[in-house]
Amino acid sequence: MFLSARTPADPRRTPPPQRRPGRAVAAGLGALVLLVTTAPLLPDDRTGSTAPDVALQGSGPALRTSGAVGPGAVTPEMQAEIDRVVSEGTASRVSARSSTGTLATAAARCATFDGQRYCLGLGWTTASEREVAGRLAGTTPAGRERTGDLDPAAALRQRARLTPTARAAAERAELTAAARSVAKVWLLRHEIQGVPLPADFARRHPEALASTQARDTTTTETTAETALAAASKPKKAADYPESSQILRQKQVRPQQRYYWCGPATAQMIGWGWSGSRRGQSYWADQLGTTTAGTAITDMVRVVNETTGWGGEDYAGEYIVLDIGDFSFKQWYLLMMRHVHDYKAPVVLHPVLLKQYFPYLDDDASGHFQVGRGFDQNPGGRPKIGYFEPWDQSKFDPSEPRIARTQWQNAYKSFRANKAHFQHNVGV
Amino acid sequence: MLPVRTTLAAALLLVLGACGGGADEPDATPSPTPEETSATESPTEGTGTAAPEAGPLDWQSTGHSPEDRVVRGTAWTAVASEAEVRFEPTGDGEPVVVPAVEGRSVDAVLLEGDSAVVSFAAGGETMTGEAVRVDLATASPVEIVTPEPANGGSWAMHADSLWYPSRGEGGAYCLATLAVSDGNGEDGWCAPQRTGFSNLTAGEHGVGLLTFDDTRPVACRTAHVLDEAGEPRPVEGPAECKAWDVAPTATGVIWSEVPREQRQEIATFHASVDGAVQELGRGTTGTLVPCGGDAFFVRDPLRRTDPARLMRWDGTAVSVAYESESTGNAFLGEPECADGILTVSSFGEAGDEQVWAQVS
Repeated sequence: MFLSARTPADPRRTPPPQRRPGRAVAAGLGALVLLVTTAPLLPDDRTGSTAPDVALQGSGPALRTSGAVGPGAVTPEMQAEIDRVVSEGTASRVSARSSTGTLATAAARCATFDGQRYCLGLGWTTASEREVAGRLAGTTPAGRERTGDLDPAAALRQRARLTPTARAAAERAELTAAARSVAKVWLLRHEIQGVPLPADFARRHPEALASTQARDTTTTETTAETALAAASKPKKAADYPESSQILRQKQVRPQQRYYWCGPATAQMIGWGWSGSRRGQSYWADQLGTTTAGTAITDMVRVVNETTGWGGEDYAGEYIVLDIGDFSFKQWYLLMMRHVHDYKAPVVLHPVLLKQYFPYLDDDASGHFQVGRGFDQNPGGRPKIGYFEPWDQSKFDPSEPRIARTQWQNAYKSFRANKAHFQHNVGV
Repeated sequence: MLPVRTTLAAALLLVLGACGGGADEPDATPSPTPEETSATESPTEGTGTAAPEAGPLDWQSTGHSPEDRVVRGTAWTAVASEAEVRFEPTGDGEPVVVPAVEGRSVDAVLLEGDSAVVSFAAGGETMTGEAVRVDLATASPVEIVTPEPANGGSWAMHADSLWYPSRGEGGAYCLATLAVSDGNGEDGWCAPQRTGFSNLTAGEHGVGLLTFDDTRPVACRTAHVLDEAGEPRPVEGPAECKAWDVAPTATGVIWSEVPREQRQEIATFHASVDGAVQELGRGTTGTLVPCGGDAFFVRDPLRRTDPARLMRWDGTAVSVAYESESTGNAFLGEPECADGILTVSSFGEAGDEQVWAQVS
């Protein structure tokens, strides 16, 4: 199944050795994408086509899927919401020396964009600000083995140490990127969780329409409503092949420092995109990694900025998505959609406890892994495939080195993801 | 919390586990491996070996969250968080609380009678560890100083004896022993340079450990048991470099092998019975625990209709000691043992629970 859809005839599949960053790729390929999306209707494929999985019913304009939708515009309402949240932060500045609880309460600030909630540092969520504050206030024990995920206290203190101007700028950038991706969040929740799309969704998000003509005519109610009606029926597990995987399993490296699971994960994701390997120090620099670790918001930002996996012919701009309200089936469907439909890796974000990962000798901190495969294993238990950057024996003679490429019980990975205080993923 | 269930199937299962599976195949589609597809869980007729049916276990709720780390003993129950271990008396009395050393978190928690050992691990690249032994009757923790503990690693305790990793000369990684009651300890065998050891188990039949080297990409792993001189002796039977769990038993040794390194969580278990090797079927790596004279290991569901199971090997036959309420999407945490009492956490879509049962 490895990259079965990549054919030499398709220029997107035979890139130069070093592809340009995602947005550039997406823009450069825009015309081709549009050709694909306006082409005669094709059945959803099981043969590995990586064409965007557009709505294919009827003859009217259709909606793109979550992976094919591009960034949208920041509306005046969104801008006002961004301004509100940023100013609240400026007004409630607290010292980095404050207690974790105080920092958490100050940091737990969320914006609502078009009916979806985005919380700074956490991502898209259905949790309330109060619940988010409670999560942030939880601390990772000081002595627990750390692999490089930024724990809540460290994240809060990092943010609190910024100057008011720098912090406001960082928050504004994060919220602006979020606002531009709200259509993807709606579509993901629709496709995975069955959440109905708002009646005016297509009109409010012309970036979600499949054709340029439809986008140009979204001023008419009829077109938008037709698009919504034509939205594709979400796929189910049965619509996917038994197994699928992406990325070359030889393009893996263990993390070089105990707090570099983020850079190692980014390295493998970047390597899979460009075909060439950049050093983990490069990725650490891009991510802003410190000895305290790496934030998932930075993981997603760097995937979007430095690879094409976030392009419209892959996963679309990556977002940080809270899966706290996902069932296992929904979570696994998200993995299948990402790997098979988008042919793009997932930034997995589990907590490394022995009960979830039996190859560990000690419980450890939150962690990043590269999600890159699934095996529904009919009759058995579904599995997930991932690259494990954590190299135990490099630092500790108490744990034997294991294979970087792992397949394991997907339910365990789901529970490990949910057990993380943020329970989110980069998709 | 699910209602407590008592006694689960104890039907004798003679498990004809299939070994095999390839090595670390390059770019392989994750096809089911033999150990995943064979009918390893179908009860079959005996093999002629005298196989007494294991008695059922009476499982009871610990009253704690399955997310809590709990070790139930006869007189005390240890409830460990990262910041402290709280030893609660099972009868009347006051709890004994052992806080974590500043900058470290609770790691190993071992309990036997009125004696306990708690180790504290540090993150990063810290080499040395810290630990205390505690006389719970007098509530007095005493630091374990000699031999100096290594950071983290695998610890095991049986009766009054403790085995743990220590730092020897030149930073060597060594296996120390210590009498818990009086704190007398001594250096033991040291792993050769660029090797290590893990997965320590200790019970009334002896001590097992896994040694490994620094081979890339995957370590070569060898199962050992300690001889009377405290030196590790390789176990005969495991495939070369494939071992993971190991524990001596009444009739020989039980061990596990990892057939496919990319499916690290799945092992096949085997036992030697008076020199003959018997296959015990599939299990979950890292879950083998000796308790009450028998050995237990976890078997995650094979099929969507299977529960997660705790398997019991009494030296001659394997039986089911516990089954989860959930089927398919279910698994068990690593069992804990103290005073011949098992504590198990069960996770699954039908709910989580944490239970304990007296083995002997």
